[in-house]
Formats: sequence, C-alpha cells, structure tokens
Amino acid sequence: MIDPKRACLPTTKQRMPQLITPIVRLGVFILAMVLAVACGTVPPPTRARIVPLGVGPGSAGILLVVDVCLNYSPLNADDYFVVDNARRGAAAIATEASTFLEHTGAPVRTRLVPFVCGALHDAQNSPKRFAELIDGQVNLKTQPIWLDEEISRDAEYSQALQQVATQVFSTAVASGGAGNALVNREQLASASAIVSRKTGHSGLVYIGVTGNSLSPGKAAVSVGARAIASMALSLAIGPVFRTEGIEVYAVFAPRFPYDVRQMAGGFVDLDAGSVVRTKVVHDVGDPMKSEVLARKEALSLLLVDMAFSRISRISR
Amino acid sequence: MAIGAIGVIAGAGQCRDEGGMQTTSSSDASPMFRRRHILPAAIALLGACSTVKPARMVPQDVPIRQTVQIPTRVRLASLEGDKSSSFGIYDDSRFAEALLAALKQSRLFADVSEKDGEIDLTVRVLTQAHDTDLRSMRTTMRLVAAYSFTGRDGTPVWSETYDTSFSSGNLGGAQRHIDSYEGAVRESIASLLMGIAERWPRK
Repeated sequence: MIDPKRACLPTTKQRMPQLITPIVRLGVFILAMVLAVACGTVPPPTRARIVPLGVGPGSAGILLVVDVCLNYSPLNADDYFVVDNARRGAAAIATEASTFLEHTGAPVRTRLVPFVCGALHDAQNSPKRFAELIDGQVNLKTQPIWLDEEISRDAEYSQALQQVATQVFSTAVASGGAGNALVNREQLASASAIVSRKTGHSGLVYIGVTGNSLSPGKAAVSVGARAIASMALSLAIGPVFRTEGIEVYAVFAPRFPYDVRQMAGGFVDLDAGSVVRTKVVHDVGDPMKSEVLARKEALSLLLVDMAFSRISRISR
Repeated sequence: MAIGAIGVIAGAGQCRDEGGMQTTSSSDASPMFRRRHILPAAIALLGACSTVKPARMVPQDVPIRQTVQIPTRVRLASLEGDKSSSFGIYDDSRFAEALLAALKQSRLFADVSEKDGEIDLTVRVLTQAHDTDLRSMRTTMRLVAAYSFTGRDGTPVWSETYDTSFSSGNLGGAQRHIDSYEGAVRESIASLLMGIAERWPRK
C-alpha cells in the first residue's frame, strides 16, 4: 500500500478545503437561483372580454383575404416561389380562419384567395423566380406571381386588393420593428375605398404568409442552424407565447436557414381606410404542406390579437 | 405516465389519485439503497400525483351583483378544446366539470346540468397557449374561450368570448403548467359569471 505522505499525495485532511470550496460555491449558486426565482414577480391574472372587429349596427360584414407566398430552396439551384402549394395552403387557411371567426360571431361574408405573393416584397416589384410546382420549370414574373382569373378581369379591383395586401403586410411587419419602407397611408385609403365599393364590405381581415421551405437535403443539414437561430431569436426577443411549437414575435422570415413561415395579419376598416390592428406570428414546419400552413394553433394566436377589440380588460 | 412509472419502479411508496386508485410497492433493499433513491422517488411521486383539479378551477371570489335568479334551466351541451391533451394538462372534461360546479354555485340560473335544460351552453376553447420564461421560472397560460347560449332550436340567446391569462412561478415544471392552466380556466369562468350577471338580456 502506498503511504500518501511518501508519495506526496494530499491526505484526506489536506484535500478537505479543496473539496469544500466547490461545494460551497455550488451551494451559494443554488441559493442565489432559488432567491432569484422566489423574488421574481409573477404577473397578475388578466381577464378581457373580446369582441370581433367589424361587428355593429352599420357593419356590412367582413371580407377575408388570404395571400400566401412560399419560397422553395433546392440543394443545387437558386430559390424560387411555388404557386400550386401556395394556392392550396391559402385555401386551407381561409377555411380554418373562417371557422375560427364564425365561432366568435365575426360576420365573415366572403373569403378570397385573390393571388399568390400579392403583397410586394420590394417597392420596385422586381421580377421573381417562380414555378407552378416544386421541381417545375422556373420562370420570371413580377408580383403577384398568380392572379385569380375572375379577379384579373377587373384591373382596378385586383390592383386595389394588392395595394391593401402590401400595406397591411408592411404595417404588420413594421410594427415588429422590421422596416416600414412600403407603408403608405394615402395608398391604403384609396385602395380601401375601391375594395369597399366593389365588395360592399366594411371590414377586411388580411392574412399574409411568407414561408421558406428547404429541400430534404438542406433541411437535414440545417438542424443545427435552426436550433441556434431559434435560441438567438428567443433570447433577443424575450418571453414569447408558445403553443405546440409556435412562437409569436415579429421578424421577416424569408431565406431563413430552415423550414419556417411568418404570418402577418391585419384588420382594415374599409370605410375609414386604415389598418386598425396588426399581428405577426412565426411558426416552424414545412409550409409547402397545407396542413402545416393551416394549423389552427398558429392561426388562432394570429387572429385573436388582430381581429378583436378588448373590452373591460381587468388586471387584478 | 413515465414519471409515475419511475416512481413505482423506485419502490418509493404510494400515490392516491382522485378516483381512489392506489399503487403500492415495497422494497427490501438496503438502507443505503433506500436513501440514495429517496429524492428521485419523491420527485417522481410529486410528478405522478400532479393533475388538473376541477375544484381548483372554480372561482371563489366573483363579485356577482345580480340579486334575481334567471328563471331558466341550462344544459351544458358541449365543451370542445383545440387540443385534448398536452403533457396531460389540458383537459376538457375537467374544465366542463369546473364550469358546471361554478354555475351551480353561483345560482345565476334556476338549474344547470349536463342532461336537461331549456337552453344549451356550448363552449369552444379557441386558443390555449403557454409561455415559459426560464429565466424567472414562470409559466403563463393564455386561454381564449367562446361561450354560446342557444335555445333548443338553435336560436342564439347570448354569447361572449373571453381572453384570460394566469401565471405561475412554481418551481416544479409540471405543477407550474397545471397551476397556470387551472388559473386561466378559473379566470375564464369568473369572466363568464360576471358577464352573465351584468349583461344577460333582460325581458
């Protein structure tokens, strides 16, 4: 047996201070954590009665407009927008959103999917690469990259709808601090008047989705990037509401290194020609799938904060 | 479920649920083995016994000013959530149980039951979302629920939608979620009771 003194190894007695120091440090750290948690303020409960916007004696009902723009990012080629998936996803969103609004008494009279990529991404409306289907032939076109045939027959109406879409989308994104270059109140007022005259509605709920979908190969290599990006966003923005993975904060989504979508919505008072309320919801998942696009958890979080007014808010 | 299983495997003792179900196990292991497993077993048991309790979702401090009872019998026709279960926390049946108890306790209506009534109450939970702030160990549950009263022929009688939230700073993660869910439901039911008392259509 080796004698510790002879082998110059510290005895148990000599090692005690070395052992105690980290234990004490750990204890102090745990105590500090517990105190920090115990002293942290818990917000008071809140109650609010919510009433759908656009409801009232003079209301002429709500027009629901859904505008989806999906970017596909294959492994070895430039990105392009896909028309077919966007149209199918927009129809699914319109159905789900109508159901939600009707449950709350909101008078949705008409729902429209007038275009794909209607809200302008840039003031110059530079030509965008698009294909009808994933892996289909890629062409160039200015926005919108698809326009409903019936609506296209009325140029004034289709242009007004696109201007409303651009204004609401820009206002929603700008309210989250991501830029306001395309916000133009005069343009919104005149476009609102045209839409009101053409449809007879007094309110418009706009849901604009910009999504980014990677090819399977890119998605596989982007797992790490996604985790890092999510963490960075959460830390930068602070607490966010989550429901089954949905995170609510405002950020412009296209060209993220993972499957993601941003839903920017707003309620427009067509009579007043102004955006009453906006909201941006951000969610992950492949937006090329209709069932992902129309997930009601994400839609409900978007709609509840943008299509309702709060009455008798009580914070106790 | 997994936590409960760990609790039983750890040979930690017993846990009684609301229905009186009891699981017991014993261990003949050495005292050292038992000491080593006391803490994990206790944590496992705490998790296994955590569940949403309808009684805790019944609001007790609602300032109802109404003095005259509404002479109508109400049937709770349905309560539908946007998801049936998440970590076993969101529970429509327990929400319904709490709602029935709260309406009966309030005596706002002549009678409230699940079987019979002159008007139907339908509840739709439109949003259930939680926010967990790990820095302050706080969970906030947000709940949006639409309450609709209709005649037996489907005629709308009265409806309101409430957006409520409740935060919990409980150190246990599962319990924090349960506390915040129960609180948000409690606030929603309290809002309904106050809404009925203040805005129910008078003849």
